[in-house]
Amino acid sequence: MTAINMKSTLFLLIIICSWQTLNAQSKKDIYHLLSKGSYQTQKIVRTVRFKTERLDTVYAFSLTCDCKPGALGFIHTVNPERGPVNLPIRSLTNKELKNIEFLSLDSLVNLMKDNDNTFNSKFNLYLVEKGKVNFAYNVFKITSFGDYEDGY
Amino acid sequence: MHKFSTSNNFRLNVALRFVLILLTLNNLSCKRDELESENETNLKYFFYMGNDEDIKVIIEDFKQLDKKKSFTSAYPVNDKISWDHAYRLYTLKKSDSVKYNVPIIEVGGVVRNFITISKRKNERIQAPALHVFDVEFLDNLNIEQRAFIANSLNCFSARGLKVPKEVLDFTENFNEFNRNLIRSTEARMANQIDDSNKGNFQRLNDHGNNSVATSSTNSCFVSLDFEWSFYRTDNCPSIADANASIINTIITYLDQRLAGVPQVEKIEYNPFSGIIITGEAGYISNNKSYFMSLVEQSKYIYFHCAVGGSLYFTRNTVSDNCQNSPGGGGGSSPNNVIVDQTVVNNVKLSCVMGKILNTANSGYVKLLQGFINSSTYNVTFKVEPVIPTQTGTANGSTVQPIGTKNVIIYLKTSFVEQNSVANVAKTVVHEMAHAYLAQKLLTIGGAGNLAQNMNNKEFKDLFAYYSKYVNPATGAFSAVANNDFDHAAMAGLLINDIAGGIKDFIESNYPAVKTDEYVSFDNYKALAWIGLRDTEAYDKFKSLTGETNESQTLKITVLESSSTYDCN
Repeated sequence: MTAINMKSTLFLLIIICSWQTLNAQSKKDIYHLLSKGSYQTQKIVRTVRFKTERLDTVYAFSLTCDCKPGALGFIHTVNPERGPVNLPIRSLTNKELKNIEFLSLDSLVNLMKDNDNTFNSKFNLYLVEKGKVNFAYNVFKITSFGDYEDGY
Repeated sequence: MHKFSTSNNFRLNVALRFVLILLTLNNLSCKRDELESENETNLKYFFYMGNDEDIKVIIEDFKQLDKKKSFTSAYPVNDKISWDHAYRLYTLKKSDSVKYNVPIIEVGGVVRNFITISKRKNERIQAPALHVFDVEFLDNLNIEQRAFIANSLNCFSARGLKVPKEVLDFTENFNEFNRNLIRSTEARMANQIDDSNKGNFQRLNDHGNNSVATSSTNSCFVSLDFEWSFYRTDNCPSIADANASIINTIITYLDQRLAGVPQVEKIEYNPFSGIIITGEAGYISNNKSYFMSLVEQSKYIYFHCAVGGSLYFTRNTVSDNCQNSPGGGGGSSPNNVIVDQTVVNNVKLSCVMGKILNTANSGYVKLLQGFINSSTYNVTFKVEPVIPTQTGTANGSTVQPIGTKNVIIYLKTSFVEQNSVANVAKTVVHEMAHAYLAQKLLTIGGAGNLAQNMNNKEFKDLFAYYSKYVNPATGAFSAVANNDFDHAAMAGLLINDIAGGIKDFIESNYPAVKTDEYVSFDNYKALAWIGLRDTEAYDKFKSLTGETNESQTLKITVLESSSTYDCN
């Protein structure tokens, strides 16, 4: 019976992974390597009750840019009760890092400008933090460049 | 036991594989539904006038359409003048195969994205991607949308080009209607004011849900604008009155999109003498026929009668501000704060607006005080796929048509759909602050009169900001200066009111945020600074508090995480 349970679990995991892969495929993966000193981050762990009470972990990022708002805001959240969620944080090996094509900050800004209101639905942006463990945070863009175009 | 277990495993395997197949099929089905649903949404891209980003979106829409499906595309007739607001409608047949590519073509010195539709027999149609809609969709158009098509066909016909029958059929009546409107305008231009065409207004009443005031003996003008709208004013004064004290103006916004940058063209026009009083940028003329040519070219013309109300149609809505006239635009209208039908129809935005346009919201009470319970000033909220007054990527815009006491706040549909309600509310309140300033200036007859009111404490601060943006040599106060002035004044005088409005919205949407240890008024204020970071007040704020762009952005992101994405 234990073997059956294990196999069931394995199959279910495969199903879940396939599902996630299918979903993820609808968006293009893009990566940006965070450079030290050019960004701020805040990790928030708290109990929230959007619908049910649960422990919620959020990562907030703010990247310095040579662009109109002066900084770009990104959020990593996995609480479905708040709204759309990101993919789980990944760890990348150094070998994997070498094979990833990272977008420069300028390219990222241009891509965000070109897709101001569709960015989050078109791209899976990973902010990659290098360290002993290399973490890749899947994030949503918060900053909108359209906020600086309004006219009267 | 072992055999039994293997058999059991086999059954389990089969069952799980079956489940996997079912789930995959279900997932694919969902994807298909998603696409179909997107196609339906795409059909709402009824009208396009925009930038590269929008063109790319539309091209994606094209790709997702069933290639065998019949649909109609529209593009300018005159390829020499790339933006003359004349559109040709072309219906693709089901037998056509269509390929899309995106060459970049230099037109009039401006690079534009074009879409090339290749048909069989080597026929090629090259055009900017303007709008796409299903042929069957035409039957469901409302009166304004039909009018849009009808007007485009007027331009089309005027150039001796053949109108596709299936498109013409349903707009025939509107073509006739529009011709009558032009005749009516011509007659009135010649001071032959009569009401022989008032039946036309009645005809409008016969269509759609948006009722329109019938013409009266006081009517003075009817015309078209380049956005295919009808404008009419009511209760105009007599000619004697006009000559005595009131200048009746027609403000023409000629959006010179050839330059790729929206430019506001202003022409003041006395409808009684037929003389254009002032003009700018090469549009100076006192020739009545010149003015009529503007009408016939369907330029954006706004008619205003200084002592009466005004009535105007826009592409998606009918706004009726006529004095003592029946009907009017849709939506609830608490006091003179009008929620347009476009907002009412948008579930997300109507929920947001319901929580902002509420006496419990301090931003509403403060920023719209000049409109609440006012019998003079109106503010109207609209949401549009493309903000008519903008060609950029603005999420919102506030306009105050010169010569009127109306303020219109536009929000961009894609912005509303793709962002959190906190973000949307921030833009709504920001635009409300623009409306606040616009109304305040209206009470003294415009920003130009601030100098005369500089000793009035209510306007003293405003004058201080205004004076920084007036050209001391010419006294000129351009549209750009006006926007900068607004933002400077908003940052300097209204930042806490904007933050308060955002806070009250978020707290009403998700009350638990009040006890969130990571959220304080600073977070709301950080959000309020969005759009105002170019101002001196923001620089001063940073130097006083030690805040940076990064720390402010982080506060906004934390606030985002602390409230719900959707409207509850």
